[in-house]
Amino acid sequence: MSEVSFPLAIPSADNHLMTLHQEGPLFILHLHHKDNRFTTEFCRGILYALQVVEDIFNDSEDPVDMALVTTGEGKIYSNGLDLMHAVSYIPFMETYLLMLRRLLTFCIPTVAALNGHAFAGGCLLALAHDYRVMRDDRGYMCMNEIDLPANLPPGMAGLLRYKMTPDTFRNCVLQGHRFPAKQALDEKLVDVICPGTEVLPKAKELALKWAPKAKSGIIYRQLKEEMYADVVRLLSIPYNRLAPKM
Amino acid sequence: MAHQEVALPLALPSTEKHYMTLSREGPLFILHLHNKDNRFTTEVCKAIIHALQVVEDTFLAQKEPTEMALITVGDGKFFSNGLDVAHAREYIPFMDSYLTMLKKLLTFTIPTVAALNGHAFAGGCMLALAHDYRVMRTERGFMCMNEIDIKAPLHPGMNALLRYKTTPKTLRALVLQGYRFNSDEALAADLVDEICPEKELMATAKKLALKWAPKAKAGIVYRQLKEELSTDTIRLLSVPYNRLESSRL
Repeated sequence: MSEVSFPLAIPSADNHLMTLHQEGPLFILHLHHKDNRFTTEFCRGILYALQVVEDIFNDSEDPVDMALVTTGEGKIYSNGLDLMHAVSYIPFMETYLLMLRRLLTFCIPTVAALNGHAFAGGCLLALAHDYRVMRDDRGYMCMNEIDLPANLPPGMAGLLRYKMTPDTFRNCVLQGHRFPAKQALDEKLVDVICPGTEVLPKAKELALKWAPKAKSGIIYRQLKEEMYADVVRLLSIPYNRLAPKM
Repeated sequence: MAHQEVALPLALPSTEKHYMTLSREGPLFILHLHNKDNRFTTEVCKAIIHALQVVEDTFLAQKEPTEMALITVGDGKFFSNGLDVAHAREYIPFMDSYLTMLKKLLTFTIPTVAALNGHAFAGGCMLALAHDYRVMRTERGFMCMNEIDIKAPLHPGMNALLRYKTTPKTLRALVLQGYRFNSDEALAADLVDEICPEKELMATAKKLALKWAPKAKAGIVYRQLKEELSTDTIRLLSVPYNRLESSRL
């Protein structure tokens, strides 16, 4: 596999939507494109970053400590799907669902460092990680589809269902409830909350704590694939909308 | 994402590494695979997926859906000899790309015809079966699933694809016997739709593609119908493929 050098600007240096860094056993994917909304290009950037990390993992002689941390920029982790793009480019959803699937069953431990808002598709991105650290003074986790209004494809609903307790799930989806950090912690949507400046350091700390589990090699991913078998299946259901013309 | 015009014919993955060519003749897109025996590596699968995306984007960019179809053809003695086994063993993410390619082709947005110019073995046989229609040359070449003879298992999705596209008796012969179907036998077993001499292969495939191209006017419905028909196969093709390596990972 070809050598990449870090930090890695993705998709490219001229079109720099996110950066992949390496710090010892940790890989840090920093999303920094406006409010980090998902387009086909953005999702492919994330998929590419995941492939780079996975290739490095597979290349090592013996599996070693490794973990992945993702974080956003400023007030926003991610505001979700770029809706204009989603309705105008039919193949988009496939790429988005694939990205969720890959992250959900990623081969090493993953930690989402929620520096700010995680709305809709961005909330799902956060939940697709193994662990979450959230800023305690600003920002919400929220699935606001009910208010758009928009439906939830099978895989997206499935991911929520599997990562939340029933009452939280109901409030999240049917009320579009905005979960601030303290409530997110109480309802087990996140694992750690802390001041904004400590989010990334705490996320790295948590990542370092669980990085040794990557030594199980291919097993880490296989265990997640079994745990989330139903979600993987649901995320693989083709998403189509009957567009008026096509 | 604005539709960017791609100039055809298109060399894929690139002009320097030219494994396959995508071209267009009126309503027909032709994907010509011409890399030795067209074995699948991650690179080859990604190039096929890219070709499919170019065709799909062209289809979607239209104001109104028009007649369209895709023909795939190999080169020389081989349609495709299947997976590059050495690559498949050493690069764990490979199967993901291969299964994704099968899935995309199986539910492709316009009618698809495989022109079997030669051998379609194992993964190559499945590539052929993932198309809507198949035309096979006479006299030479086999369709065959030889996993039984190379002691390789079949992923759930690969099995499902075979189950979906073949009758029970043919399925048993293919999988449990590794039977080599010549063109007459393939026609009799409903593995292919038409057979013809080699020099008539492309003409016959194009005729069949033109016959069914009007179904693409159904727009997004053509794909949706295929997705519903093959729903179990899609689900199984999406089951992650992992192998327990005996040593390390």
